[in-house]
Amino acid sequence: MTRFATMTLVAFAILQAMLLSVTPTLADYVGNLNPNGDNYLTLRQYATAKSREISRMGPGTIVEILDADGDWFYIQTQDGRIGWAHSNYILPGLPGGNTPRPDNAAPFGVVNDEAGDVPVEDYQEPAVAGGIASGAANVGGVEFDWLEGHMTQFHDPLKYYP
Amino acid sequence: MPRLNPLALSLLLMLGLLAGPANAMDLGKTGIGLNPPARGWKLEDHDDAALKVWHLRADTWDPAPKESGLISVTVTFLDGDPWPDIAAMRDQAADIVAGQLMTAVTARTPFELVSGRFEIAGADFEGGLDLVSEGDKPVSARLLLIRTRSGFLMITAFSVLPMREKPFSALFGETGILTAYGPGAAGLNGTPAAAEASVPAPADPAANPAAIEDLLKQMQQQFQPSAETGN
Repeated sequence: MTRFATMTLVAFAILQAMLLSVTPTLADYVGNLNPNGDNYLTLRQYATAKSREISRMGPGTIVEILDADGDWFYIQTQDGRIGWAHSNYILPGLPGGNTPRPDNAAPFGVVNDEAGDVPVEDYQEPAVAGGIASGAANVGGVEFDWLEGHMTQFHDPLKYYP
Repeated sequence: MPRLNPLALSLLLMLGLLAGPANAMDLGKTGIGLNPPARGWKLEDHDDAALKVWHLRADTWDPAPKESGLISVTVTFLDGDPWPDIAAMRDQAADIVAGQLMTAVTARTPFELVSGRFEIAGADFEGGLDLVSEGDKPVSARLLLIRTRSGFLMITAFSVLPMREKPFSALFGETGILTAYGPGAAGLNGTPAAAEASVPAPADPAANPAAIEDLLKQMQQQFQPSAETGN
């Protein structure tokens, strides 16, 4: 009986370990950035710094690690962007608190041009675990945090008025 | 065989050149082309690693430009498609159009449809633009998010004409600012006169839910592919 109980416990532990290993979790975030630098992490198409830039992620952006290749993680953000980012700046767990955001930081998810001369949009809080932070429009639990900055910058009909 | 007068031939050639688009360009392999008008419009573009933006604006808003009152057309093109929920993205973009790009929005009509290779979520608006010193200018606006199999487009268009006066009949079409090609193209290009004529006079949809449904159906009919395409 004791042997049966021990085997049952071992089997349960193995099963639990297997479940944990295959269940995807959104328990990592962008951090460790230099607040005096650009203060964003680039999401790229391939696992190399020379690869095409897909987007930029601000500090606190929550991501899911899908794969790894050397120093690079293949990640997905909560709004569905997928690409490669350097693992130095992907930290485990959730952001501990709101990191002050410098005035020159790029808005989340907005792809600026190389010269970096795109005006900085209003800061939006990063998404938090289990939901979306307040302050930015969101629908159905999905938030396209780059959209507001992009549309007000490029789609405003009064951009050049008069 | 009739002889052509060389002078008449030259005039015809010149007219043809002037009437045609300045420099039509395909937006990647989306099946949609951009045809900036040759005259009367300014074009600004922004080229980035991940996206391209073209912002077209009419030189003058009053009197209304020839292109059905269109005063501004902006196209964002992404060669990728990382957003699975196009309707959610439309809703958020529509909030921004209504809340930040326009003022005093009196009508907002979302629609969704699929036409061949094009998956479309959009919204139409009636409201105003805050011209500050000149007050609010009444405008109509159309937001389109178009997913193709080879890229993603977000388009906003503003017209000084109200909905009942076909404000976007020249947005898409063979002679429009944008032209769709290939399977499903007819759904976007449509037959502007008939399609726009089907849009009813503006009412207060909030006061009548049935009116919203009717309006939505008519909007969708506007984008239905024709039988000719076989889609």
